[in-house]
Amino acid sequence: MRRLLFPIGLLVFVLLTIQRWGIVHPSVVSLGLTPVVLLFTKLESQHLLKAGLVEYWVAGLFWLATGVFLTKRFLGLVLSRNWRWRETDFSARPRGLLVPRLNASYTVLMLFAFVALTAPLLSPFSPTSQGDLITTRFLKPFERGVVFPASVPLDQVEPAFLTSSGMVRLLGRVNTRLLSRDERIVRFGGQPLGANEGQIRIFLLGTDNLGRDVLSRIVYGTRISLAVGFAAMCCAIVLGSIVGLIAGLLGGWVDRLLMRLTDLFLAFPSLFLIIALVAFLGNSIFLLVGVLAITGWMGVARLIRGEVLLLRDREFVLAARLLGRSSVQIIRDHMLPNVLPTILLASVLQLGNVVLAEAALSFLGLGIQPPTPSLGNMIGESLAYVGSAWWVGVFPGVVLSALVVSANVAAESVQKASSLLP
Amino acid sequence: MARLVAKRIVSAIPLLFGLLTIVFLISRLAPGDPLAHFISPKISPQVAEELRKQFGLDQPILIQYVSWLTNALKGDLGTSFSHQRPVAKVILTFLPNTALLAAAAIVIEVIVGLFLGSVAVRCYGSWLDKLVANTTLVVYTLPTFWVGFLLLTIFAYGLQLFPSSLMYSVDSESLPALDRAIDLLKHLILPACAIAISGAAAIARYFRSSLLKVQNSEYVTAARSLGVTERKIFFCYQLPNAVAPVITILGLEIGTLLTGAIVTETIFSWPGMGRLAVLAILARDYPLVMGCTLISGVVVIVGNLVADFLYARVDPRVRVVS
Repeated sequence: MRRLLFPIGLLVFVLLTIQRWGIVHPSVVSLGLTPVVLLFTKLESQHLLKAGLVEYWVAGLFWLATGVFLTKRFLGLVLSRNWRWRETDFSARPRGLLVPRLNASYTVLMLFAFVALTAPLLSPFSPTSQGDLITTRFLKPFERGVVFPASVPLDQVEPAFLTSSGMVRLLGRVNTRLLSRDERIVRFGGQPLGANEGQIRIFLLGTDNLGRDVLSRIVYGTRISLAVGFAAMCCAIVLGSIVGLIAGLLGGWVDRLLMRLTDLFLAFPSLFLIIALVAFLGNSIFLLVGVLAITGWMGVARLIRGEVLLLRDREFVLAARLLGRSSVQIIRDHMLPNVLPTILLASVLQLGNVVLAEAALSFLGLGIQPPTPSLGNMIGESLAYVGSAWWVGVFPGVVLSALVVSANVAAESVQKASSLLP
Repeated sequence: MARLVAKRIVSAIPLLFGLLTIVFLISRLAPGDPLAHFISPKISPQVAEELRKQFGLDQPILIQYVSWLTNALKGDLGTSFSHQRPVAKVILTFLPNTALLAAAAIVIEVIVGLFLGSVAVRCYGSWLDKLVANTTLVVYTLPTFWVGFLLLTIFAYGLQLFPSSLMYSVDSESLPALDRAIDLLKHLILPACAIAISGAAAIARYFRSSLLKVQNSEYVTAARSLGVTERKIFFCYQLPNAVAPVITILGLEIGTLLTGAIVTETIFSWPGMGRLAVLAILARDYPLVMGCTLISGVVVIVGNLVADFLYARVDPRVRVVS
């Protein structure tokens, strides 16, 4: 099974590319053509650099990167001399990859990262596009609907595109396609459709109370949950590492003061503090990240402090001190490399915690605000319809659980692998 | 022992003080008018000013803080804006409900956790043991609100076994005492399980590993060679020694219980402290927020104290060292 994971992954990726070709192709073309057109024609850049396009460029870039990575690895394995299918270990760690090979949870986390980065290409619909409310709300999973492409506002189609050379015209067409994502959805009655009457599409996971596609919202929700979680985790790790390093290195009253502060933050149920901070200070995404970081650094600080206390009296640190190196140099060259595995472990653990906290907050209606989907607020909003439409809340919950569980299992296996902690 | 407890209480006071200070500062420095709910534009500015003065909101923050602290020490927590009643009374009506919920959750946690842990060790190495070890790892990390949501979907709406919200049925006032208790129990089961499930998994994990450690120790072998029955070995030699880490977990669990209560009470509309606190924060009901902060801080600290105390009871070595 493990051996087949990689070929299956490649196959799924190829099939996905074929299925999503209608949006992958324009994204990649737009990504490639924009710099060329900007460099070689005299068009003004503001027509080309629309904010809505950036996410497609990023997603296209990562789609390409994934494709290149998978293909290269596959060809590298297959094209080697006297290759035999049965003897190839597809699960072997590719050389040069930083992360150690762990268990399935690590693969799942990578998958989540891929989903988050390529969300606009993966989601079948725009997460906010709706249609006729009365007929399209609460479509069951696998139910079909008719989708009309939204008419593109005239100011987004540049007349310059239509008159210039072929390359520019192609770019114009591609960008128009990308910017016209907000489809209008109508319930499918079963009667045959004419040529200009939209197309029949399946809603894999159904629609929610406003007739929005649940799958698309989950994909975008994963993106925002992971983005907030990752940013907050980084901030918390930096903050915790600084506190831990200072406390461990300086010792004395500074150490005691900082550890008291850590105890203070630890003593209290963090969700309460987070709710108080967010409710009183407002809830922009940046503030959310800050609040999650402020309430999440304590565990890291303790871990790092313990590690530093162990390292501080080791011979190589004493030797470095005897050689007259400054504290900054000692921290940079001798402490940090040794503390790095602990930081890695703490950050994987922290990711799970932070994603969970953000989800709980959004669930209560205090985190990410609608209409932006996040896994937490989707579950929270669905609570009102749980009796009639279970799929609206169950699927985001499954995804959220998979994300949190895999982060924690990954942390567990990092811990086991390095046996940093008892 | 008394000295240990006294020392712990003294060391907890700065924690509580720091906590109250932080929450007070956050609530007062944030923008927004707590009286906006009551002051309609029709009220003349003089009356509004009068109201502010009445609640002491026209004073500088430091004076407000000092007066709140001195009043709190005298036992007066102020008057809630949104409930129009003394904070202490409001909290006293909501606290028992959460205490009931938490107690039920702890009972479920301990019973299920200890049972699963000992079953896993009994069949150590078998598929059952692996199943327990892996499921508890997954279940332990599941979000509480997701567990609550699932329980609600499956048992309240899908199977219609239990009621979905509140503490009592609408007509419960007219029921005889026994039926009323059964009604309460029915309402209690789902939220208590929602909180307890992750804790039970944690306890099962810790109990399993500590039981494994104890299992092959010398005194167990000695007891076995002396012909003590397996039953007695388990209950008299293994269990007391293995249960000590579980008590520490329970102490830490108090904070998790409070957190769990916030979301669980929201899902099941349970009239408890968690929901009270969230609603108070959203309504900018400063005195009530401070009251809730004080109570939950005290509960966490007392919970940890009790855990330490129990630990010392179970494990005499802790007493000697301290």
